[in-house]
Amino acid sequence: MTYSILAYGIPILLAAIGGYLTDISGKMNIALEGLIMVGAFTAYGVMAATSSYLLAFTAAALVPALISAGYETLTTVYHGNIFVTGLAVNLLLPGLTALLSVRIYASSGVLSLQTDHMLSSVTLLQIITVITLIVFVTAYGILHQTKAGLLLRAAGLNRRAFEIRGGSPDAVQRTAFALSGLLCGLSGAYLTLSLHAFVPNISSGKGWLALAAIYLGDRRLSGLVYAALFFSVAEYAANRAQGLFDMPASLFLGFPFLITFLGLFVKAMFRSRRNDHKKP
Amino acid sequence: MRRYRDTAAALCAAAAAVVLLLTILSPDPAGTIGSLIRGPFANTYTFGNMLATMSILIICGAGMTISFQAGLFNLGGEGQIYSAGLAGAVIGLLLPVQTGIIGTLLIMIIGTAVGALIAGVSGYLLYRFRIHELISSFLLSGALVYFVDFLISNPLRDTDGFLQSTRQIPQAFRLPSILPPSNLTSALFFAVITAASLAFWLYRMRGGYELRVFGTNPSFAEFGAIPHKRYTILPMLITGACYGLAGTLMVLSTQYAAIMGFTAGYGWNGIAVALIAGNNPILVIPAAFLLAWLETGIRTAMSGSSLSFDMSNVIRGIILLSITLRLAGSRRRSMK
Repeated sequence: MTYSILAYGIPILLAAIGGYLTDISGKMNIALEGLIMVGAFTAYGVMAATSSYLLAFTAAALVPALISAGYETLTTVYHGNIFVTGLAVNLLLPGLTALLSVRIYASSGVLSLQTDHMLSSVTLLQIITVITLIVFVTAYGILHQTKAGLLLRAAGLNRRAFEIRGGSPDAVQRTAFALSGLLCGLSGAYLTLSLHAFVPNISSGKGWLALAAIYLGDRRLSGLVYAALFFSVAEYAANRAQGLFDMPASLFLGFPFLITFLGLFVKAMFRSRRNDHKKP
Repeated sequence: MRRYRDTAAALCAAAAAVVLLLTILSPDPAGTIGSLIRGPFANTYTFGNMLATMSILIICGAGMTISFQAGLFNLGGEGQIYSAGLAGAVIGLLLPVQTGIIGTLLIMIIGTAVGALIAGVSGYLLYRFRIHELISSFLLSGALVYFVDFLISNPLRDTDGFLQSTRQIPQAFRLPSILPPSNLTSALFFAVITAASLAFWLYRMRGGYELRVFGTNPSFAEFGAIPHKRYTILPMLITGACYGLAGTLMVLSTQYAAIMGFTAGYGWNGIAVALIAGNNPILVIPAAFLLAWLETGIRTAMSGSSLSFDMSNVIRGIILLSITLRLAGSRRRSMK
């Protein structure tokens, strides 16, 4: 049970931390889903070529980081709408991985990894959990204890003031986008490496759930953990229910979306009631 | 004027990217590009199908312009089309055949209402609880797509057919064909009417004016006593209604049943069309023509290839990207 909950929640949490960093920098990266896919595909390619976990993780972190920072830069330079470009990148990247998969590996289906010394899924989960913990603690420390974190929050709070003070909010936001790409890449790499295969649509909505986690977690770093935990427990319960009641699978595929939607709704409702009480 | 130059530059960039992509990916680039461009005009069948695709795109795109003009982002098009299509098909199967044209109208009205309702939920949640409509519409649509998948493949499935789909609606409800044997029907007529009436409302009537003010400058709108509630919810309702209408028209004119996964990207294409048209409902018509040409071209050029869906998504992405980036006017703008 712990295994399934962590295995489902950790990739969401990683991507959500990345999305959160962009959100507080004042410009939200909605392309998390596509970036996870790129991370997953890159991890497959590098692992298949070199059988090195270290190289696979590194490449899978760097490629989406570059793409993410690159599309953010393009959007800023050419005055685009970051939501629209994010959406475009989300459509573009999964399609591109599928086309590349056919071009390089002559298959549009499952690409399995056949290397001699594969780590077991449990070991890999332990590794990614430790990485996530380090990422989380570092992010918390940087955000609340360092000047860099202050700048990141300041860029999101008041862009104009930031500019007047002589800083460049664009540079801050670019860094946040690069970091979110990096974390999505790690998340995607974990998905591929623990499955020992790259599968089309391997992220299956995790990037979107990560975005929802930011809102569900009240736009706080600690909130992301609760939100990711909530998704995983709900998913686990749904899977158990499916087994128990012999329900068709398609009914449960939409479950994460539904539960997230309801979660957002219920939370907003409670908050608004609390605010109503406060009013004189 | 500059906007048209921007759009032209963006479309050229997108075309260049598509050609580059096909050159890398296709074993016979010249042939593929040729059939992509000429394919839709090859015969009555493909030409009619292109116009049929265009009709649906016009409705989706015209609806989307209204949200965009109000500064709202409806990401739930897929779920809205799909649910409305299913609702239309179910009503079509329940109604007695004798109702004829009234039945057809009823199907369209109910489908439109279903689409409007789904998008309206996101609009209401934005107004009442300030839940970001982009997130809520996407999540709701994500849940609905799988739920409709479930309904089509299980309780409502036509067990005599091979396809995962509902039973076909009776002949009496189907829209009259224009260019047989293609899929083109009088849906094209509804599409043009929708675009024209939305443009009239937006640019010639008070409501449309208020909506545009609200979209460009919400604090000024508040100052002018333009009701915040109305212009948060109404644009979402209109966009959803258009997606709903598009969904039912697809059922009434092309497939006569709710088939598993029939929306395949129309929700995203609506966004692309609206952006190419610069959020003007009338310009949606040429924009939809361009995109329909491209979609039909890809389908003909890549027929038999499992990649056509991925290819369309990549091209959709390239178009969205190049449209939102103002490639032509950027230097002057940054100098200002």
